[in-house]
Amino acid sequence: MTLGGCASLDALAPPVSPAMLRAGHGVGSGTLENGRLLLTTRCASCHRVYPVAAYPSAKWKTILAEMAPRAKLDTAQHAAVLAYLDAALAVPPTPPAR
Amino acid sequence: MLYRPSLLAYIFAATLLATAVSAFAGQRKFAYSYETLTVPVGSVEFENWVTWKHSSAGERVDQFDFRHEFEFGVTERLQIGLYVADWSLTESRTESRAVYQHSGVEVIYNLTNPNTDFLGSALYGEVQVGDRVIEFEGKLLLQKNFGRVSLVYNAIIEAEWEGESLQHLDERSGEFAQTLGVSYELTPNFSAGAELLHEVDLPEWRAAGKSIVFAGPNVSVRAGRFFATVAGLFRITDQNDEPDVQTRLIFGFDF
Repeated sequence: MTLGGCASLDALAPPVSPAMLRAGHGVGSGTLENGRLLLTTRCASCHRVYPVAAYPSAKWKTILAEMAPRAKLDTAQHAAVLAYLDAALAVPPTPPAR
Repeated sequence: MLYRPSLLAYIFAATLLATAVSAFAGQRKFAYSYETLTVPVGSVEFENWVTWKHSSAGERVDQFDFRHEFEFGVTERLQIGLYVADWSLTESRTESRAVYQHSGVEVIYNLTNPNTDFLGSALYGEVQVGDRVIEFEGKLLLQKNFGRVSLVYNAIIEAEWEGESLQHLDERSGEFAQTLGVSYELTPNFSAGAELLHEVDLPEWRAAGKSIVFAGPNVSVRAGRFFATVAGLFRITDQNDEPDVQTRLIFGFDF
């Protein structure tokens, strides 16, 4: 079973795409994938998965600065989550397939 | 060890007051069910449990079971808990006594994630040893999250050997239990829902004994590094020799 196993999760936290990689300012796909994984697992061990689109990038930074110590994210993990959020927010959401 | 009832009441009231003053939200959404996710690697959490069981049939009896536990996140999937001490206070018209029961270790291994996989799952094992009792407990934990809603199911099998001392454990018994819980996340710091507990005695491991069902509401709150979860369950089956109601409060602190 994988991250891709839940369609509603993809709507909340879109999977890493080529468009995200282009918007990721040189951040590798592994880092973005790890950021998404941490957002949907470690961060969501205490609360639900929040939609990436719920907040702008600056607000996410503030939230993550407060929450990262509680989720025991180290510096690299913190940076990976922020990189994923920035990349995901830079790409317009894909409309659902018909 | 004997205590006067006034002291017992003070201890329980102080416990509740300490929780209220700290004012929190919950890392645990359920008091009688375990969730499938383990605590983050590297984290250390201190939890205190108080379970109050009230029986009114025949002689009125109030029993308070206490647990003090440290939980450690060992890997992304493995969590270990140390039960420093489980002990109980029993109050009735004729007696008031405190008894140390046991200390132990629990291990939870997460298999799948309730957010990213089709179904979250974990295995739970526990060993408890007292001065005249040994207990083993195994659980299968299942969980699914749908947005703000969490559903959990636990299947539990327990074996216990008891006697005059650890060298003479001549009584054996078992229990099968299952719990079901639902919780709705109203805010990141506040969840509310309901829980159901079904217990089946297995005396001497020969045949199923009494089957008892409790159900009731739960609430979970968190503030900063503190959390508290409480559930009040009412007996909905017809065994008058069992508690009418039981309430469990878990409050914890994340270091």
